[in-house]
Amino acid sequence: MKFWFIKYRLSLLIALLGITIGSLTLFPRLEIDPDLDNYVPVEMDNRVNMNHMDSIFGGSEMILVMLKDEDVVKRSTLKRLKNLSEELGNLEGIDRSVSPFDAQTISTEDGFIIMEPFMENIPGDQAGYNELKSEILGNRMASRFFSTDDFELVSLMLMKDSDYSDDLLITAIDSVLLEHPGTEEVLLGGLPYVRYSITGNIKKDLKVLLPVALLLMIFMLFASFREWKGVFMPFSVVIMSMILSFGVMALLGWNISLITVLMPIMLIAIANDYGIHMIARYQELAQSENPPSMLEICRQIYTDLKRPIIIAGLTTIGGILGLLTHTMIPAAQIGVLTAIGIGFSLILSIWFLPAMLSYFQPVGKVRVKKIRRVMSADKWLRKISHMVTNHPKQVIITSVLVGVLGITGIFFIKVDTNIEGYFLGNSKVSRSIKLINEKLGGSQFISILFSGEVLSPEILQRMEYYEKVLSEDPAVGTVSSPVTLVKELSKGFYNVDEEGYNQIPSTLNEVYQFIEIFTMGGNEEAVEQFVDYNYENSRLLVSLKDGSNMEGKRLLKKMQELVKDDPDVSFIAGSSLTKIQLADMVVSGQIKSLMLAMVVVFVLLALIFRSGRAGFISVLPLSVAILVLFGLMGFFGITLDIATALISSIMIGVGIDYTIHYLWRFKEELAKGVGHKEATLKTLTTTGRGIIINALSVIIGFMVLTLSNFAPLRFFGALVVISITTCLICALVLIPSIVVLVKPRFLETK
Amino acid sequence: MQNSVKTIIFIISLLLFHVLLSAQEDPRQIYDRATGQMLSGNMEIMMELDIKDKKGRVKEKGFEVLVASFGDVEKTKMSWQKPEAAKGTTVIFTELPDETGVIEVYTPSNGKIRKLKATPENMAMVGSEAQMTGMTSRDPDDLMFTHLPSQEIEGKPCHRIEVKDKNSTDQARGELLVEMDTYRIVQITVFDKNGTKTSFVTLSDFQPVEGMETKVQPMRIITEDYENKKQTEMRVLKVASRTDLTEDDFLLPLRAGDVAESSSTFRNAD
Repeated sequence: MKFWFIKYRLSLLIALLGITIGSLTLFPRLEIDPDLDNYVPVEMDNRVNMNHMDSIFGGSEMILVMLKDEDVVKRSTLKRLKNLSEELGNLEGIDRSVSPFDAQTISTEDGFIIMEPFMENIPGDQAGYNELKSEILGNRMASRFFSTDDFELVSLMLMKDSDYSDDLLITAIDSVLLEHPGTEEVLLGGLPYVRYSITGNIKKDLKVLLPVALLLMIFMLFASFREWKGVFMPFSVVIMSMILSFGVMALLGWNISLITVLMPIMLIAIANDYGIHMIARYQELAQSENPPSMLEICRQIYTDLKRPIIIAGLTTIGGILGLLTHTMIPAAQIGVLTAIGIGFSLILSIWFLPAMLSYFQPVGKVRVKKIRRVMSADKWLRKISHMVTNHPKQVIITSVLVGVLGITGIFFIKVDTNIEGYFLGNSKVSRSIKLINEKLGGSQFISILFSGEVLSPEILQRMEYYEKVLSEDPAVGTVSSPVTLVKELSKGFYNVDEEGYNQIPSTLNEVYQFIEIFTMGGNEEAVEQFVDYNYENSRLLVSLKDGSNMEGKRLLKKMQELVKDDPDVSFIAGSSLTKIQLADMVVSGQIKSLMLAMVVVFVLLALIFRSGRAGFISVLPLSVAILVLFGLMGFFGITLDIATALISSIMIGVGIDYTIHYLWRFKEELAKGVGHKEATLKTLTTTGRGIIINALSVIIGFMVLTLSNFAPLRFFGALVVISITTCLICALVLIPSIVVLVKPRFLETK
Repeated sequence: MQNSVKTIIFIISLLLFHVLLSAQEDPRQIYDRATGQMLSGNMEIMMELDIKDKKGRVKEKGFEVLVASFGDVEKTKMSWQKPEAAKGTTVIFTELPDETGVIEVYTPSNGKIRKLKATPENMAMVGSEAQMTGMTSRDPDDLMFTHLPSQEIEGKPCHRIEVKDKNSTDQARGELLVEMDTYRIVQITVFDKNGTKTSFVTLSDFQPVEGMETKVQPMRIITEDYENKKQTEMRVLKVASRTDLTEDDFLLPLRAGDVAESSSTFRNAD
C-alpha cells in the first residue's frame, strides 16, 4: 500500500487536523517568562546564592518610580511622591516601599537626640526649597533618591516580592499612578519593569509585524506559484507545525522565553521549504508535454520527493538537536520543540500535502508558462549555471575569501546578555534605563554577603574599606551597606566634636544597641535592607551604572580579588551576575551545539550518500555561511546574545535542506545520463526555483522585523535575512561549483 | 519590634485602667469588671518575647518593665534583659501633664544617655503611640461598648463586647471575648476602618499577681499582627505589685565618666 495516503486521504486529513486542533486547545496554558534568571539551571551557583540572599533579605529586585520635572523639589511633586509611596507600598507583591520620606535625620541638640523623619515638613516657598536641597545633599539616606546634579528627578523604590508576577504588579502600579495625577512625567524602571516591557514589546511587535511578515510571505508564494494551492498548502504545513510545537510546549509546561520567538521563525524558514518543493514539483509535472492527472501527479511527487524530504528533515532534526548541548534551558527546549515541529512538517509535507492536493485540479499549462515568465527566474538561474559551470574555481576561491573575511569579523563579536540594551530609540523604557543609570546610580546590583558577627566593628570596618574602593570604580553607581546606617546612628549619640561622631563604634555591643534603639522606633525595614532579622548576615550592595557584560565581568573580578581573604564573606551574587553566567553559557553552548550539529550533518550525509566526501561537501558551504553570518555580526556590531546565538540553528536547518535538495536532484539528473553542465542547469532551473521561492518568501517576510523598535526583533529580522541569503547563495552557487569542480563519485549512478 | 512594644504597652495600659467593679451585666460593666481584676497602678513585669517575622524567623527578647505614677507624672521604664549584647539598654517614657514628655534612652556600651521629646511624632517613632492613647484617652468614658452575640471559646461561654473610641471617626473597632464565669479577657480582635482584621490577641495562663493575689495576670499573650505578618508570643515570667516604687527607680544608671551634659539635661527634664 505505497499510496495509502491517497486511499485514506479523508481519514488522514481529519486525523492530522484533529492533532492540530488538539494542540491549539492547549494554548491557554502557555505563559511568557522573560526572567533571565530562569534561563540558567537552578543549580548554577549564582542562582543558588541569589535564592539564599532573597530568603535572608526578602526580594532584592526593585521597581523604581521616578517623577521628572524641571525642578522636583517643590511641594506638589514631593506630596505626590509621598502619596504614591504610601499607596504603592501597600500593594500586594511589594515587600516594602522606600522613599526619601523614609530617610531619617539623626543629630543631637542640648543632649536630646533629634531623630526625625527627613522631609517631615515640606516647605512651601522657593527659599525653603533651596534649603531643602542643601539638606538633601547632606543626607546620604535621602540624596540617593534624587538626581542631585539638577534636581530634575526624584524616585521611590519598591522592593518586589520575588514570587509575584511582574505583569500583575506593574498593572496594579499603573492603576495607582492613574489615581495620583500630576504635572510631572512618571517613569518606571528596574529589572521587573524591563522584563514587563520586553514581554509587552514582544507581544506588540509580533501582533503587528509577524502578521505583516506572513502576509508578505503569502504574497511572495502567490507571486511565485500564481495559484492559491501554492500558497495555502506550504503555508498550512508551516502553521500546523507551529501549532503542534506550541501545543507540546504547553503540554510540557514550558514557558515562552525571549528566544522561543525564534521557534516559529525557524519553522517558517525550514518547514516551508518541504511544501514549496512539493508544489514546485507538482507544477513542473503539470506543465510537461503530456500532463498526468492530479492523482498521478500526487503519487509522482510523493515518489520523487519522499526520500530527499525525509533525509533533509531528519538531518535538520539532527542538527537542531545539537541545541540540547546548551546549558541554557530555553535553548535546549527550543531544540526539542523545533525538532518536533520539523518532524510534523515532514509528515504533513509527504502525506498531508499530496492527500489534500489530490482533491484539486492541476493548474493549466498556459498559466504555468505565464508564471514562469513573470518570475523570470530561469534567466537568472541559467546565468548562475553558466557561471558555476565555467568558473567553479573562481567561485570557490571567492567563497573561501568571504569565509576568511567572516573569520576576521568574528574577532569583533561582542557577547552581551544585558536586556537593558534591547530597547532602542526614545521609548519610555529606554529613557528610564538611561536616567536610572546616569542619575540614580543604576538599577542592577551585585551583593557581597557577610555571615557571622556582622555587627562587629572589625567586619564593619572591612565593609567600609570595600565600600570606599568600590565607590571609586567608574562602573559603580552607589555602594550601600550597614556602615552608612551605623555611622548615621552614631550622630545621634555623640556630639559633632566628640570622638565617635559619624564613626563605626568600637564595640559590638555599642553597634547592637544603636540598632536596637533604632529598630525600636519602627525602622526595622531600613535595617533589614542590609542586616538580617537576627543580625547573622549582612550585605554590601553595589549598583551598576553600566550594565554591560564587559563591565560587570570586570567589576566581579575586582570584587572577588578584594574580598578573597575575608573569612566572613560567604559569596558574591546578583542578577547582574546571572547575565554574565548566561553570556558564558551562550558562547560555550554556541560552540558545542554548532560542532555537534556539524558532526551530525556530516555523519548523516556521509551515511545517506555512502561517502565521506558527501558529508564534507555538505558541511563546507554551511561552514562558510556560518562564518559569514558571525563575521557580519561582528562588523555590524550585532551582539551575540541569548537570541542571536541561536540564529545559526536556523542556518543549519535551512542550509542542509537546500544542500540535500540540490544534491538529490543533481544525482537524479546525472542518472538520466546527462553531463555535469546540463545536470547543473536542470537542477538549478527546477529544484533551484523551489529553493529561491522558499528563500525569497522568508527573506521578504522577515525583512519587516527590521522595522521593529525592539532591538532583539530587529536583529532577528536582519540575521534571518542574512542567514537565508547566505544559504541561498551557497546552495545555488557554491555547492554547484564544488560539484562541478570535484565531480564527486557519490553523485554518479552505479 | 514596634508592634511588640505596642503589644506590651497595650497590655500595660489595660492593667492601668481605673475601673469600677459592678455586678451589672451591661457591656461597659462587663468590660470594667474584666479589666478591674487585672493589676492597676505601680507594678513590675519581667517578660520574654518571641517575635516571629513573616519568613518564620524568630527573634528572642527579654524586658523588665516598671510602671508607676508620681502625682500627675506617669513613668514607664523598659530595660533590655535579652539579647546579651543589648542587656542594660534602657528606655524611660515620662508623661507630663499639659506638656510634652520625655523619652530617655540609655546605652550601657557607651554610657550615653540621650533623650527625645515625647512629641506625638517621636512617640510614634518609638512605637509608643498606643501608650499615649492608652494614657490619655482610654478612659472607659471615652469608649463606646456594644454587647454582641456571645461566643464559646474552648467550650467556655464568653461575652463578646465591641469597643469603639467615641472620639474617633475612622470606624476602627475592637472586639473582646470575656469568659462569662471568670470575667477574664481571653481574646482581643482589632479591625481597621474597612473592617479588615489587623491584629488578634489571645490571652491565657492567668495567674494571681505576686503581692496582690486578688488580681490576675495573663502569663501568655500571643499577638498576630496581620498588617506586618508578624507573630509575637509574650511570656510573662514575673508580675508583681510594686507600691514601693520611687522616682529613684526611674533614674538611669550613670557610670563614672558618663557625659555630664546628658545627665544634667535628664535631671533638669525631671
